[in-house]
Amino acid sequence: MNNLSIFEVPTYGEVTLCEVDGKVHSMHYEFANIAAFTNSLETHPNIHITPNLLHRRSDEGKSVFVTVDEPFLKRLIHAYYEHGMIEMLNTAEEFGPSYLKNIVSVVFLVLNGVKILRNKLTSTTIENDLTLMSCISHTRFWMTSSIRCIAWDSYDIKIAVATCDDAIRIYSHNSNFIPILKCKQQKNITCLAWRPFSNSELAVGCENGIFVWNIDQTSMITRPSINNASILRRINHVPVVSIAWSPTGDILASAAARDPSILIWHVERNETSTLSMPGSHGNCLVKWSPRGNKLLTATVERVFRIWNCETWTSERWNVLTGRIQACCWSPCEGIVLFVSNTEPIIYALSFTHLEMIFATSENSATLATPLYDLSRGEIDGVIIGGTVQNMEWDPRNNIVAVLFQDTNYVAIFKVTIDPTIHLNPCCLVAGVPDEKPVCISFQGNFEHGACLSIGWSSGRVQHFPIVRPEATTSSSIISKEFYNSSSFHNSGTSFKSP
Amino acid sequence: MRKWRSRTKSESTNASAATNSNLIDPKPYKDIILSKISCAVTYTMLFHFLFILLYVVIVNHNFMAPEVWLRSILYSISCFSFWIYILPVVVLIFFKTALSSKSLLTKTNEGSSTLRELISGLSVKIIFLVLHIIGGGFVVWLYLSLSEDQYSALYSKCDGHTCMQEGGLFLILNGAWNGLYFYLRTQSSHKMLLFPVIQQSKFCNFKAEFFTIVNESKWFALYPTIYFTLLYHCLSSIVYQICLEFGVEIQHQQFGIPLYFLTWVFSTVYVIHANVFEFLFKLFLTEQIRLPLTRTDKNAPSLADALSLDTVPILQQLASLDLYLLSLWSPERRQMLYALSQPGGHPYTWNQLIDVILMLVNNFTESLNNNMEAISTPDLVRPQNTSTHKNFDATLTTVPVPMKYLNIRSSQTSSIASIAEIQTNDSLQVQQTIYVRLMKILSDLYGYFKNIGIIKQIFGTSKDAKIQDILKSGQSMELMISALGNIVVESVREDPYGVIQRDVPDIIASLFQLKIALERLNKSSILLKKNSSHSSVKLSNSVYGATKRSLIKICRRFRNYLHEFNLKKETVGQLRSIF
Repeated sequence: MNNLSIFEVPTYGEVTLCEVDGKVHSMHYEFANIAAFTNSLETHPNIHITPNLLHRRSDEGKSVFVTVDEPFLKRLIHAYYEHGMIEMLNTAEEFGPSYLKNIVSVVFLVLNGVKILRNKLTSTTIENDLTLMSCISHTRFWMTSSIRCIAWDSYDIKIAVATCDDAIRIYSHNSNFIPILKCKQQKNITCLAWRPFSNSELAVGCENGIFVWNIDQTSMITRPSINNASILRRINHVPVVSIAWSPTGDILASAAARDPSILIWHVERNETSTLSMPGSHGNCLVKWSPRGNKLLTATVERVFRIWNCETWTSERWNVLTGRIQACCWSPCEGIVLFVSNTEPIIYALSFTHLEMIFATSENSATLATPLYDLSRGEIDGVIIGGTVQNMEWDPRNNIVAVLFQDTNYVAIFKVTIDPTIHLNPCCLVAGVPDEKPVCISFQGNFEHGACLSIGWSSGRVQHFPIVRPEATTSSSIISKEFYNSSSFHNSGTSFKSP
Repeated sequence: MRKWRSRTKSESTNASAATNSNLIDPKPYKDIILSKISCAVTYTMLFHFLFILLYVVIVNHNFMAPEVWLRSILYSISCFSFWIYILPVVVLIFFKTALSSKSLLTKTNEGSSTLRELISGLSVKIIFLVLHIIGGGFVVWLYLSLSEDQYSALYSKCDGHTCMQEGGLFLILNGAWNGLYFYLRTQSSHKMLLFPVIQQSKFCNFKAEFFTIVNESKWFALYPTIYFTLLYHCLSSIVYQICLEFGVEIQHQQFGIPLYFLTWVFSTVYVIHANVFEFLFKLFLTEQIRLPLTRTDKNAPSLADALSLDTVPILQQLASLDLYLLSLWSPERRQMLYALSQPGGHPYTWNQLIDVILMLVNNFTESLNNNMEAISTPDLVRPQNTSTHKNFDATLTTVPVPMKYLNIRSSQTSSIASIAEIQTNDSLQVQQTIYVRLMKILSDLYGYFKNIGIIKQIFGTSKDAKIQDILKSGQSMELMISALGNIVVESVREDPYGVIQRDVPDIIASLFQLKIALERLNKSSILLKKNSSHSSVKLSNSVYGATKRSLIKICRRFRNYLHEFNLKKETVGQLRSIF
């Protein structure tokens, strides 16, 4: 099994800009200019989320006003509406009359007792929602980073950027008009997904549920109102941590960290079907295969499942330790790569050759293949690798990007599938010194090869193109390539048999 | 692209397909549906029986003596009274099923007046309401009868004569109240049978939904229990009085937390029963059926036949679902669509299918457009202005044409001959003119009364209701349109003869027209009105979403050939803006 030591480490102070014709280009961050190497990003939007762009929902605004003495009841009502029940109880305990203080302290005691009991019964620690979301999220420093997640539209040059002020900004090519999607109920965004074949619908997973925004392309309204969004919410299905549209765009799958069921939504009807997963306490990941034949769902424990979307039967799999942190499907959907949150190893599962997932026990694989060792290590004084935060596979090319939890380089691999799956190191992407990568997303329709967008801790979004000489702009060839990719397959011999 | 016979005009297509739908015998299809309904009834009864059995196991529990426990369970089940108690519930299930099936197996009359709809709807609703109230009471009575506690017998001996136990009465009345509450909250409005979002196996579906049903029922039952308890305590004196009037004395009992808890438990049990009935009914009826793509014999009509059979709505929906699932998961069945006949080499299967689909889509669009026009334009039939001048003109136009020009001499011999007739028929002409005027006055009066607000409301047909009726077929329309998009896109790789490609312009044109009609509908005030049902808005949005996605899919796939299709320039321009 290969490891990261064969990667070439970028020079300190240089920003990795692009890979053109197999050659990686980097420049000193003060003079970085990608146009010197390729003009493939001419129409791409420049994105930099600076602190003054953010409109935080915190109490910053309050400091401008002189505090006034409010009646106790009014204060309680304000606390309830602005911060919820617990804060109202805290206010009552702090400012209320003595008998109320006693009652509230009893309520807190009971709540704590219930919490302890639940902890004992479920044998897992009941974490705060935000902590849990932060742990599960595919974004590094989710809690503090100004960029929470990014998502490319699969057809247009259009990217959605969710920020820590609970807003989503839509950047399009050749346009300075940036719609901002924000509403009061949309708090703590965890994931974004553009609806296929719609051009204008964006699903947003957040603490309170799912918001499906319908953005009128012809409208020049900067802040569309909540009337432009459908709210998909179920009482127990919170916080939503992962969403995925089926490739036909008909249905939406969602996973919530505290709900053992995966919900499949018919968005317009606001109706759901449930994929029940007995024994789990919550889910952290849903990922549809590119052609919609399979759906990977992962629980917050060791179990993950691969569903056959025709019959909705599932194959149950376990990781050795921890839970699935990230996974990605190959464009031919014959292979899925996954990593756990505790082990720095990329595993591969294949079901192209013998349809192993749904085959009988005699000819099916029972073990995934460890593919690449990403253990943390030091090369020329630079620390790279470690456990993985997120991993993405370009929808049209065999290129995989890996974002690490603790180190500051994004690793890019080129994948060969035929005859056996193999990850070949391509390059490490470095940002400006002190910048840390927080999230990644591939542009699905980049005509010159592959384009990885990286959100950095500074609020900058970098587009890293991998320009291939043979890449053509002809859509017919691209689609031909996409459909012919079903001929890729992995040899069954690379998997351990039971 | 290989060219087949030039496509027939849509009018002729419509006519042929419509005629075809009239010729199809719905009996074999109805048999399929009846078998599904009978399965639903059987499983509902089985579920009820198991639930009651579970109750018997719990109430007879004796952990210290399992043998006695088992014996008492067996005794309870083998007892004749046990089955007698169950019988009313079984009868109620049959009645409920029969009423629920009616709307699925017969098409609602779109042109019926509000009054007729009200009368027909009200009768069914009243029967349903009564069934729910009786069912609620019966279920609680059944469970009480099977237990051994103080409420098991409704009557008891007190001071030498028989009197009614208040606790038991309270619980049974609460059951009836629950039936009423459940009906008013969930059943009073017309409910559509919506297909599940994904087609899981029945067992998986039941497993996934059962605990949700139990959970929701638990909370749902809480409110009616509280309302009833409050209501009972406020109106208990009236209940005593009524009972006394019937010669029944009530033995007063102390109400305590255990009784209130029991009330909530029985309420929950009733709501679970009612919800499970609904769920199982939906589960069996919405299960996919595989229809043959070609008609093999008279008793096994094809998918296209089933799609055109709009007289049995559930069959049309099941056929649409089959088509949708075919478009997603069955390359082998799709190959049959592209197949050519031998000998002849004609794509009969596809032609038959696409004719029906386009007819349905066009009819849907046309109905929407017609009704929206009727709403957007002011009523043409207004109370007429009765000025003499206008009346004169109107009369002139209503006189039959040959009579109008009788005073003009014609050079033709036949006209000369007829002058004699005119002279002899003078009195007849006067009579006819009076008759025509009288008829005109009567029709004016009829028009005037017809347009008086309240009469129009009662005896007329509401345009909004018509649109909502049209949207009832929205679910099958959505499935069909999605399927069409998928098939056309897949055909690029799968269709070796270009069978589908021939029809792409027609498909695009139909979908585009539908999209425009739905956009108009969504922008109009019809769906925004307070009284327009929420489901209509959802269905309209679903069909719109499916249409838009299918159009985008097809246009993206054929984007380089759009200019070759025989489409209007404006249409192509608008399509380019969509995708």
